[in-house]
Amino acid sequence: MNGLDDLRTTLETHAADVAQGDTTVRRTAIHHRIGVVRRRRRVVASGAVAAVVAVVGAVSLLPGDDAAGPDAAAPSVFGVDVPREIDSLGFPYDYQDHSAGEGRTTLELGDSDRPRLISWGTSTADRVEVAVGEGDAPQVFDGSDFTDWTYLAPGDAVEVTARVADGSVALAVYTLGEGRPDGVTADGVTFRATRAGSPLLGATIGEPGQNDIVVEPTERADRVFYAYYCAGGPADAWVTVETGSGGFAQGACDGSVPVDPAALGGIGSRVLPEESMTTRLYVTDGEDGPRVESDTLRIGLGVYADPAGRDVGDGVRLAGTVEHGGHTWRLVDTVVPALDPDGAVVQVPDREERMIALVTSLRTRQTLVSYAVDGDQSSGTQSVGGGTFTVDLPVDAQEVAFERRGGAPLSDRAAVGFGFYVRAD
Amino acid sequence: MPAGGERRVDFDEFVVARSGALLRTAYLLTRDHQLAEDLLQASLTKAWFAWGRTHGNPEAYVRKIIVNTYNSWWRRKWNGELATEELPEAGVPDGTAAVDAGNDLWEAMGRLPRRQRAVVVLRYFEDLTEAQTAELLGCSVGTVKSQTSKAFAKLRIDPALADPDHPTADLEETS
Repeated sequence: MNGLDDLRTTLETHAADVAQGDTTVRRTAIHHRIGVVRRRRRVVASGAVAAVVAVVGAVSLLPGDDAAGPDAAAPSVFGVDVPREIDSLGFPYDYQDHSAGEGRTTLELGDSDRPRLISWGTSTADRVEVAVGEGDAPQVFDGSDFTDWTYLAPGDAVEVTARVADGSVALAVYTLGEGRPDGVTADGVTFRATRAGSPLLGATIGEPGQNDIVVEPTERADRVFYAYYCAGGPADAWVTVETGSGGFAQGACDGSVPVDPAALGGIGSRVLPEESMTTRLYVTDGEDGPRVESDTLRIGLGVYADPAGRDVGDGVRLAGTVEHGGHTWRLVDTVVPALDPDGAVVQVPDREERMIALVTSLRTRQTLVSYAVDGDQSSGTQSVGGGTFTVDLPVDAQEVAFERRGGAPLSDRAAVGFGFYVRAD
Repeated sequence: MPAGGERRVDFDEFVVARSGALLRTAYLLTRDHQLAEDLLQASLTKAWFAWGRTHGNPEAYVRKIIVNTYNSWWRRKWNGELATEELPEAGVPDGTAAVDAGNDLWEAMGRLPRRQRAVVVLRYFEDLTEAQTAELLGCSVGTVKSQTSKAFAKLRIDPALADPDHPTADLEETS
């Protein structure tokens, strides 16, 4: 028997060990999942926010529609002025259009290659349900007068609906304007001077077609956060970020060119005193191939300081300031609960303002985990191996759960921490 | 695209007929019975939304979703350390599979990076060609070759297989 025969035999032997469950049970479980997915389709960048189809009072804002634009005059509704501009993470967004109605209103937005913000106001209600896209699970916000908003990533046409229990409600849409915050800007991309309150240490935006860039920060930090993008490469293009500590991250070069790379997330790492801060990003044809030669290739890399966060127990660290959904948030409360094999449930702090929760888990290994808010699992993403979920909490949320959805039971070594954040902008 | 009722019957018949085979692939990737079942169900759920709009072999389509979903579970970006420092590359046997001397190779495979393990499973369990494996993984044939080569190199030096007389010392890539 040769090595390949052994390999095939080993695979076949272990595959044959798999217990084949009841296909009827499996079929039923799959259709249940299909129902859940249907309800949470149409995801926006700030999380899954669903919608109710409404036709009354709809305002169309489709590509080529000249009725509205950045110069459109911002109106008043219910005696409240709709702002002409909103500042989100240092980027200005210009008023585009609005709609208003008794109890309910709808905005139909055309497709857009620029990010947008959705804001709202109410005449009397202190709660508003805002839904983006299809589905039946709107997000519950404070009934603020255009002082809160949610981020809408560039994408297809979408319908936004707002409903209130009493009085009138209005929606307004804002499109990314021309101004840019301080930082490094080129080719339509800006690495902001700060991210979640921490400074940009260095950034490089490659020329179109450039396949290799280096960032040499002028200052040191104990921990850094790498924000980067790679777009426009051929199908097999492979991006590598190589740090001065010898670490690296790799992945497919399949993104789009972002306006604000730091808002898209990235990866963080410690930097020891003897290690270089210099970081390199390069793109190869496959993992081991030569550098990609393509005029359409676009790459960029920014290095930010990244404070270690507060140790809240069991080794769980939570950042004091985070960004999410076009807002900056600050930590106001933490809970590190005892964890049973299937997870843990904690109470949401009793606060009037809107909150988000960061649910950070460690040492969860082969467990498929997710989260639920007041028993609703429909908006939860799933992950294996631990990490951090960012949860948009409805204003009236009572409890958040960290749940095992599959795989091995959580071990005694696993830990989870919940951090609750309020807006800091 | 078939009508709703017809679509459901067709899909359900596929689940009954083929989900057992697909579960085996999921298990070889995850090395955990519960995770494999969850991976299978999650992948079939995704497949439902394109059912009737895909051309060709639906099983190949679902298998592709399984591999991509498997990768995505570990691919999320982190607030913590570098992904390569944190992500669990080494599979952990779940204790339900029999472990004996012949399982050295199985355990060594659990220590392969996910992408290399996926290539090995697709090439030597599913018996896909290099081109089919590349198409399924969304990479080039060259990448499949290099991943296979790296996987074999890792297996040859794995402590569990270090004996020069171990059968896997003969592992060589074949086209």
